Amino acid sequence: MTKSLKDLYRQRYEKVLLPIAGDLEEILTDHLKSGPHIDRITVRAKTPKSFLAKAATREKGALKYKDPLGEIQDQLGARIVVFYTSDVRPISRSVTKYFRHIEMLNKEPKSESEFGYFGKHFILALPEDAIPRRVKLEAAPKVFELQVRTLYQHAWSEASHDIGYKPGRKLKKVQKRNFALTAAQSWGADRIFQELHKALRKKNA
Amino acid sequence: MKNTRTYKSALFRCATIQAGFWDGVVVDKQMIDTRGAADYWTSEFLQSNLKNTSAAGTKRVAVALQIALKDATDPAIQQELINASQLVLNRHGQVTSAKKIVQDLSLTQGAAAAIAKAFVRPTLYDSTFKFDREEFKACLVFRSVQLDNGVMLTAENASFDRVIDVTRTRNSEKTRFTTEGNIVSEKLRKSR
Repeated sequence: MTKSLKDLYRQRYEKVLLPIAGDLEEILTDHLKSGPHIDRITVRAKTPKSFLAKAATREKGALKYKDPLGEIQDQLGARIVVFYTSDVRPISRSVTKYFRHIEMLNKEPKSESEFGYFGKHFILALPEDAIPRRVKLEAAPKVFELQVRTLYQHAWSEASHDIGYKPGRKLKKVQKRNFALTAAQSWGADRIFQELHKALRKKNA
Repeated sequence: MKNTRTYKSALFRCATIQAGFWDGVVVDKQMIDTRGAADYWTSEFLQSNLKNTSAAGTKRVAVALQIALKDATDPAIQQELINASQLVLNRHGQVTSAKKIVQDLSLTQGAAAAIAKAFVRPTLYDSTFKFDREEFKACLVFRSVQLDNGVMLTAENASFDRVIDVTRTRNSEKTRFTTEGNIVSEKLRKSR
């Protein structure tokens, strides 16, 4: 009898992804430890609940993923949270110095008059050092996702995710405006802190 | 393929067509030297890159040498590893692997085993990358201090301050270096 997707992923989650997540976090921290203003570096294995929800995503009536175990690229998700917007570029340079990147994308709202999620996303080749000896190479995913965000981008994203906000979800007009307002305030706070950081750093130098 | 002895071959494998083909292996039997596969073929035709970035591959070898040095108890192997860490600097820009470096430098079986053992996974010992001298020097460098009384102290830079205490003597321009450990080798040499 063939195993269900749920059983297959649970097995991968426990025996493959969780052990790799710990080692990958150590490797990322080691490579990026000299980077500017890093608040935290974390790596998480996508929970079975979250994976199955994503695997069930539909597009134009059909399942979006024909091979969810192979196609879903954030089964391992890393996140680097930095203090200021100017820290994103040097951190991204260090990321591509040590990890082979497959995709790189600046996530931002489509229109300049919209406010929502901002962040830099990478799809990177999973380095073999991150795969503990007890895990078979062929069992490990080939790639992982890495997000680089500022503290305010992170705070907005986490809070809106907790509430269950997703682009395209039906919301009342006032709720939409409230989400946009908090996103705009986060964007503004990032901008002001960046200006303060730049001005005061020059003054202290 | 020109003939059965001089050919180029690439193999990318994946379980399903929807996802994957992220990595593969190439063989280039048309290269007359040992630089690996031709750049124009791998990067332009196959639109591929080495799986390891220069920095990651180089740092991995530097760390392996560091671990091998720390774990080695045989002074001859220690000396071999120190020499290897200097000689490898000449390989800047070359596509190589730890295994190839060991072979090219004709390291003894003991030194080779010490380096191979230091990798997290055995396959990484033979994993190719483009050597980056600056990255290597940033990861593994030896600090030597020579005193006017003829004494010379050498330790790996990352651990120098931890294993050797440095203090300025009172009312004097002199510096005192203090360290302790087990003697693993002692010999007479004609030169430094």
